[in-house]
Amino acid sequence: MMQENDKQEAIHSQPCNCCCIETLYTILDGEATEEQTLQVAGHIEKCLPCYQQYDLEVSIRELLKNRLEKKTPPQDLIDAIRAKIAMIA
Amino acid sequence: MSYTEKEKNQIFQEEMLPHLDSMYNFAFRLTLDEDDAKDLVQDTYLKAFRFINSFEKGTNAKAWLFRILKNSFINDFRKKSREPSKVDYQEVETFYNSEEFDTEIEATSDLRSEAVQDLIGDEVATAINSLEVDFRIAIILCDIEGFTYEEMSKILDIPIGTVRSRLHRARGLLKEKLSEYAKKMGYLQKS
Repeated sequence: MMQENDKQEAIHSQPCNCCCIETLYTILDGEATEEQTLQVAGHIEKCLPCYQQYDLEVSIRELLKNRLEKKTPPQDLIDAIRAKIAMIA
Repeated sequence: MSYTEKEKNQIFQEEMLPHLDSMYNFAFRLTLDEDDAKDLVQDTYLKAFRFINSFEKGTNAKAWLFRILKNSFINDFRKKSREPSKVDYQEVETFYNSEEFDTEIEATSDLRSEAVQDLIGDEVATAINSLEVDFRIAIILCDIEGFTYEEMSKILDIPIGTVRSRLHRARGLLKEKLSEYAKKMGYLQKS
C-alpha cells in the first residue's frame, strides 16, 4: 500500500488542471481580487505542476523586463519634436 | 477642453514629453527600425499636440499617447512601410482561438524556468519581434509597460475579454518561441 507521502506525490506529479493558466495570468497581471490571489497562492505552495507553471511565467516576465534591450531616444528626435512644436504653437 | 497656449505647452512639457523613452521603445518594437521609430514618435507627438484639447489634464497621458502611437502605426505608418500587412487579423485571432492551436502550445509545457533564464537578450528580442504585431503589442503593453487590462482595452479599442484572450495567445506563442531557442541552445532536451 502506498504511504501517504507517496500518494500525495503521485497526485501532484499528474498534470494539474485545478488552477488554470488564465487565473495565473490574472494574478500576475495584478488584476485578481485579494481573495483569488490568496487562494491560488495557498494552492501553488502545495502543487508542483502549478508551482512550475507559475515559476515559468514569472521568469518569462523577468526576462522581458530585464533582458530586452532598452533603447534611448536619440537627442535629434527630442530636438526635432521641440522645434516642430515651437513652430506650430 | 479648451486650453490657452501657455497651458497647452505646459501639459505637453509636463505630461507628454516625460513618456518619450517608453514611446520610442514601443515604436522601435513595432517598426523594428530606429529611423522608422523616430518618425513614428515624432508623428505621434505632433498629433498629440494638435489634439491636446481632447486630453483631460491630469488623466492618463501615457495611455493616451500609446493609443495615438498605435493608431498611427496601424493606420498610416504600416501602409507605407516596407512590410505591408497582408494578414486579416480577425482570421488570425480565430485561428489562434482554435483547438488546433491549443495542441501546439501544449508541446512547450516542458519549458523550464531555469532554461528560460539562460536565454540572452538577443534571443528574447528575436522571439518577441517574430510575433505577429497584435500579439507583440499585447505583450509589450502588459508585461513591459505594465498597463492594466482596462487601459489596454482603451489603447487597443477592444473589449477586456479580447485583451485577455489576446494576451493568452500571445504568451502561448512567446513560450513556444522561447522554448525553441532554449532547445537550440541545449538548455532543454530535444523532444
